[in-house]
Amino acid sequence: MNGIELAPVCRESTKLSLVYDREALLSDIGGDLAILAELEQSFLEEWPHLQAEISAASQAGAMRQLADLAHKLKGSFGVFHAQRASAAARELEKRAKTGSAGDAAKAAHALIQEANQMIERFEA
Amino acid sequence: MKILIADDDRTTLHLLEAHLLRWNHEPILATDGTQALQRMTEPGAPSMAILDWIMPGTHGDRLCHELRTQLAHTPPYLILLTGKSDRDDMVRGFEAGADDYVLKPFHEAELHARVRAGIRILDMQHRLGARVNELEEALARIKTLQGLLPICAWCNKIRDDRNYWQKVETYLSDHSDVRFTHCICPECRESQALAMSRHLRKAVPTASESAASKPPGP
Repeated sequence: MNGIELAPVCRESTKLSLVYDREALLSDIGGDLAILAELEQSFLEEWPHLQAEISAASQAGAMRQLADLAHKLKGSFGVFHAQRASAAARELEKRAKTGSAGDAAKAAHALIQEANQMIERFEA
Repeated sequence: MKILIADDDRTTLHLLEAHLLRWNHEPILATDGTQALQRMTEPGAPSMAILDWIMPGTHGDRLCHELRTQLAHTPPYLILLTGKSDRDDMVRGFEAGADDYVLKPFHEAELHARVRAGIRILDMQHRLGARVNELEEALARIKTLQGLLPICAWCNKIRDDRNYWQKVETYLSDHSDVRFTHCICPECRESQALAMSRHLRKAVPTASESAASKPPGP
């Protein structure tokens, strides 16, 4: 066997922290739960507009706009230590800059899914 | 200390605001480049800014360039906070006028250390500026005294920059650290003493002069 095989519980917790690492964010903000709630709330309020913009840009093949949106979301996902969503945003930015409109649309769809998974873990 | 934070991503903006408040600073928020430029150039503007690179309106690199041009006399401390991690981007950022470059996602302690370093530099810049002003003022005085001074050939008054004629001692007192103490030089003392005795002789005749000028008695 190559590498270390994680126990099922460990694997699950690692996977969840890749979706949204709440503990890491709490550590960043000195354990302040009020700020954590504000950050989650802020993203929750902004996300429907962003999601609509991504969908519209994806359908219109507006690659430049998609790249900018992906870049912006990379910042938000970084705040939440959401590694999977961050990777999806990086992929969308790359596809929107260099790939075809079809590739970018697939990447946009994947990003929306990852962001929604992250939001499901919010406690706000 | 007032610090501007400019980012179109509200989550990052919110996190930065929370950090700055915890570090006892006063965050000023901007959600695009145009707003950031306006905040940094209005009266009472912050002397430090943390700027995202890709923003609506004006991008961070262009913003750095604009601020360096518009605020050349009181240069602010500019930190670019961006997800652009290429070395070429970093070089472009510094060349545009950024003082520091921090990558997203940022580490709180690192950003705090960089903000503190910026404050040290601003403080040093402020102290140096004050010293330069003092030296320039002193130099201006020296230049005035070194220049060509119109002086009246008759009464020795000097004509100043505002076209007023002033006594030599008044002019020199105003344009240098010189103070005057009045006295009489030996030559003047001699000539003045002679003139004074002549004057007194006229005013109060001596006994022999009085006798000579007195008409003979009966």
